[in-house]
Amino acid sequence: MAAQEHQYLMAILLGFAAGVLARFCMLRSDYRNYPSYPHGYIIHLSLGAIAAVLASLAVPALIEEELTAITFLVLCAQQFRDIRSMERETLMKLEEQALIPRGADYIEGIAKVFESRNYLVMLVALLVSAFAVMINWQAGCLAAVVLVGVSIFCMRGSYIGDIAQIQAGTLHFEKSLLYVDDIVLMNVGDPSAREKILREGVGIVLKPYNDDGRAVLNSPGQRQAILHDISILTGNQMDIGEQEWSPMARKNMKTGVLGIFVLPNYKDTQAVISAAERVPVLESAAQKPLSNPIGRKLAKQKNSDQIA
Amino acid sequence: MEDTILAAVTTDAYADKVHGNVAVFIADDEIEQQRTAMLLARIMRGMSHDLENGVMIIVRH
Repeated sequence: MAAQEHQYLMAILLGFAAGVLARFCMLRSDYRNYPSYPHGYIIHLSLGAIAAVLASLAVPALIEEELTAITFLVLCAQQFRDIRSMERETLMKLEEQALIPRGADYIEGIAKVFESRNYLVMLVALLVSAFAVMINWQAGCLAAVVLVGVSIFCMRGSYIGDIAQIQAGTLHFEKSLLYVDDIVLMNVGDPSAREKILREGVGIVLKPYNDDGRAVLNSPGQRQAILHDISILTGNQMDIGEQEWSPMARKNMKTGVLGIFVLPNYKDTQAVISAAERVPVLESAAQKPLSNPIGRKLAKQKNSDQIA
Repeated sequence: MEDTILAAVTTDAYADKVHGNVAVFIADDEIEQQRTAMLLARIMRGMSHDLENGVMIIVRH
């Protein structure tokens, strides 16, 4: 009996440790600057730890036929749904004062990621404790290593660099209209602003590889996310009330190519291109017309028209 | 309010191009017009746009 209890304890501890480790590995603070504050770390690590301990209890409880203990797992899953609204609320509040906002789509994406990370933690803790109970603690350790790796892999999405070719574009004016290559961006009335834009601004064009990519770049939320991330990485000269310098993304209606203008702190076109390449494709923007026969037919038709 | 015309700036020669319920500033020449439009844009946190018919408008986006 004591040996059995010892095994359960080992399984719970292993599951807990693996869950917390998984949450820690997924808690990366990068240029998106979120969550970069120590309090943000503590909130997410604590919630991850709670998720891990509850999930690792499930298998020993099931074996002991303590079914009430398992219902706690359901309760806790309910609790973690609040994480999404917590993230959304915080980011939406910060958004009100932002010069270049993230946009609702990006915020929703971030909020969803935070919620799903907790479910991954629960899954890791549950499986690790199951391995430790069913086989032995060594198997639990091995499962922990594999599952933490898998969970990090699962959180990886695709990037703008995967769906579109990004090149430097030429900024120019036709009277008061600002263009990047052949895409109209905006009307700038002030001649001194036009000069500054030509001198210090950077123009890039995003050419989608296929219709799926075109659909992504068509989403206003995705475009706002691209502008936000470029501005975070390369800086932006825009100040409150100075709308001439606000970054801008507009598409070519015929080709779906996206033209972008930004005014970074330091003019480096290559840096802007690299920044745009690593913007994540938002879940809400990801559409796949090519997965449907109608979309494929249209793409085929377009290709044959181009050849003709 | 978003995308609102806050003011229009023009010169004597084009003054008849602007009518309606908007503040109109008449400048002596094109240089004064551009300067006034820039100042108004800064003061009202808007952006100056050129309608390319002698009229500039200040819009808050």
